[in-house]
Amino acid sequence: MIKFINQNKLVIIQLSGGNDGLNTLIPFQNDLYYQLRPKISKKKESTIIVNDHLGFNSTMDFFHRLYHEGHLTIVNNVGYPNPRRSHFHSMDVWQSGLLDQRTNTSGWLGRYLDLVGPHFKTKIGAIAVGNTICKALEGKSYKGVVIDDVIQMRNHLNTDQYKTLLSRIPQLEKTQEPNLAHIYNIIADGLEGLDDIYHKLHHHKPQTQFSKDKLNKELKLVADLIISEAETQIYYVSHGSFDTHVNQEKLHDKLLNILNEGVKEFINNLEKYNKMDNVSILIFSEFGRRVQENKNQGTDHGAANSVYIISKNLTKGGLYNPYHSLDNLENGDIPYEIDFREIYASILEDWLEIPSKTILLDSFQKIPLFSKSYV
Amino acid sequence: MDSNLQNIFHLLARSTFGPNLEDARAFQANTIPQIVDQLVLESKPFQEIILRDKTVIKNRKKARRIGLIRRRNKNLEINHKWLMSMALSKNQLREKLAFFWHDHFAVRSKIPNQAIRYVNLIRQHALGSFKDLLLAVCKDQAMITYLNNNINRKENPNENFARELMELFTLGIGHYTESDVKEVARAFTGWTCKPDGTFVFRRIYYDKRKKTILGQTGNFNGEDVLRILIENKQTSRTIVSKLFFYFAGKKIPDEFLYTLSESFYESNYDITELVIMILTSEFFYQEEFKTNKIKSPIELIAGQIRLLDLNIKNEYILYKLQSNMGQELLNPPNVSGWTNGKHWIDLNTISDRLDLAAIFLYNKKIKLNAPILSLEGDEDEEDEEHEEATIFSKFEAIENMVQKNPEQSIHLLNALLYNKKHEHLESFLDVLKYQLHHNEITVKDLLIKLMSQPEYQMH
Repeated sequence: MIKFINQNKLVIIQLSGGNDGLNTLIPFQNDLYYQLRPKISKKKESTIIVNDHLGFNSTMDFFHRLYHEGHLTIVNNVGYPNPRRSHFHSMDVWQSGLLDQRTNTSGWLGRYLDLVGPHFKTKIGAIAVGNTICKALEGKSYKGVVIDDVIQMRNHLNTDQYKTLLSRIPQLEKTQEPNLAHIYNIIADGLEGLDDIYHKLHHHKPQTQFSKDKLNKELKLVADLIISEAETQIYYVSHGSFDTHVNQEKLHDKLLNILNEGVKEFINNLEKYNKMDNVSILIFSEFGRRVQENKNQGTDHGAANSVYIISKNLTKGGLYNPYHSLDNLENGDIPYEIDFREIYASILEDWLEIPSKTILLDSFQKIPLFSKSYV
Repeated sequence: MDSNLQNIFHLLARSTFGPNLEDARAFQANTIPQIVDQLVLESKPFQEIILRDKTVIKNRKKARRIGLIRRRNKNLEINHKWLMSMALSKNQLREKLAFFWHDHFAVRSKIPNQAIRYVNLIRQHALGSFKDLLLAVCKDQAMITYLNNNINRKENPNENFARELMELFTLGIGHYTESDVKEVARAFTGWTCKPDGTFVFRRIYYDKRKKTILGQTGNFNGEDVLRILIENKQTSRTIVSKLFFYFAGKKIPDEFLYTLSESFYESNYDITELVIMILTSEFFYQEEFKTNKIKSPIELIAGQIRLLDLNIKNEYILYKLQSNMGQELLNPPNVSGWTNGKHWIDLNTISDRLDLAAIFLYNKKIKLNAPILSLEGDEDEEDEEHEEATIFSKFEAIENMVQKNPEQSIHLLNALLYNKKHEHLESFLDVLKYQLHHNEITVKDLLIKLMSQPEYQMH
């Protein structure tokens, strides 16, 4: 059924902790925004104007540029029914792509890997960059690999200790020990996959420039691997914590600034090597924040949020849909209008070219994000 | 390999958290039934895990800020003490069964008072009657909260607890209907706990109308439902199947299932009796059941602590290892517990698993592959503070044995660690014998080499 893996790469930046969309893209014409946020609202003059009623947080000049180039789509009011305002529960929902993980703990991209896995030459189809084990990439047979320093990881396995193990495999295969054989195969596959990446890096020698923040360093690894034509198709990075209950402004602005710089460096470096055409970036958070500020100059957990998609292959870029009206909230939160799985469906079908129903375990109407005119 | 010794190590591997040299010496001249008796005897006492007292913080603002950190530290204390107890307690069989029940009655709890009550509860009832265990767990605050029965009300029934009770704890899928779930949920309305953790029946929330459950009709309450479920032989079959797999690593054949489940049922669900029946059966000692299981992270870690007699003071280290390897006590991925077997082994976990002995014996720093939403209040600075490893190993007994008779000790260690003669390891072992003979390797490094083989991941 699945004939191939296409050349497109997907990069996911997870804003952990609940990003405040309202202070990311500010509705400065909305009186209610100022009434409900007397202390932490952003004034119009401090934003980077997008149109007559919206402006970006002052730290996000690059996002502003992408917006006007048509390379950024913002989907608003994204969520799911009966939202849980708990980090763990909501993140489980977003990462699994399922409202209920009782019988299934796999991630949506893990299920994608299970489906297309055999088509990868090596077993490293997805990488979670950093130290974070990533449920979104966990499938039944395939899992994303957590890589912090790919050279170090490869060198760790490329030692006598591990390599001598491989020489035992032919003899081992004659015995009837599937579980033991599995262990040896994981080592062999791992070494093969990491070797492949290692040699590609050495062959291409990408000269990318990134600053030293954690996000930037992690995006550098992603950029280097893409430029080196590693087989890996899915990259997952996390940034945060955006859980700004107290004194939101300083922390939130700082995090957005790092996000802006990280994405800027990432795209600029990829463009230098002409590699951005086949890359799309999905930026999301497990929930938004309450519209009304709390007593600590911060905000508490909310419901629906904005999702940001960056690509050179979008149908039109800009706002996909307007902000939900602030005088029609549900329990003080922005209610969802678009189920997040419609975005996943769009990515799966139009970007990765895989039927989404088998991955999402249900039918979702994909929203038209991508044009089909990419090569 | 001596087949009698192999049987003994097989028994110990499955009924304890791993044989050590002391066990090997104590039991090598005994018969299987004698060893099983001894294991049962040693697990008769029950030792509660007790937490340190907390000091009261007077300043309210400070107390609130410290509250989260303190809660995290208490959770670490519980995790650490439980795992160390599994590894070093004399009540090995009890601890092994409690670990089984933790997976069966899976609960996630980050509230220390609740968590420790649950832990002691399953440890206390681990070898008693399954009836008592089931009732106690169903009245446990951590379980009730986890499965939302605390909000199960007559006006608004919540089916979560009812469903898991039948699907996971007793009958299993296919042996009840959706209608049964709804009715059982109604029967458990008002079944909850007070804030202090004691069970309470809130009559005001209880739906006292008739219910029809599994073909029986009556004004059933929670206890009635449990009675109905226990009286159903399918419950016995479910427990027996699962427990057999836990011990043997393969699915139980129908005939044996019938025999054991009838017996378990007739004995009033006596867990000790069931365990004895399995572990003293000839069937259990067939080749197909030996060294066929991949150790779960808990079993791997506990087994090494046990073997090397490790004294670990730092309460963060073991948590980090569990987290990296994908199995944390009191944090199962979902209500159905953990997926075992091959699932434990992937490129992310293999390094820490193979290198664990080196990590322990060389006090290496462990980098935490924190889940994206890690411990609340987790700051990098605190992480550095905990890095100071404090692991003391005293494997003198092993050291003495090796020094006395190097050649023989390799054979014994092979038996102790792998419980199998692997053809493909012959040349590896020959090299070690040579190195030992010529004093080219220390005992410490010898152990690390042996314990970093894939074969040691099995038991």
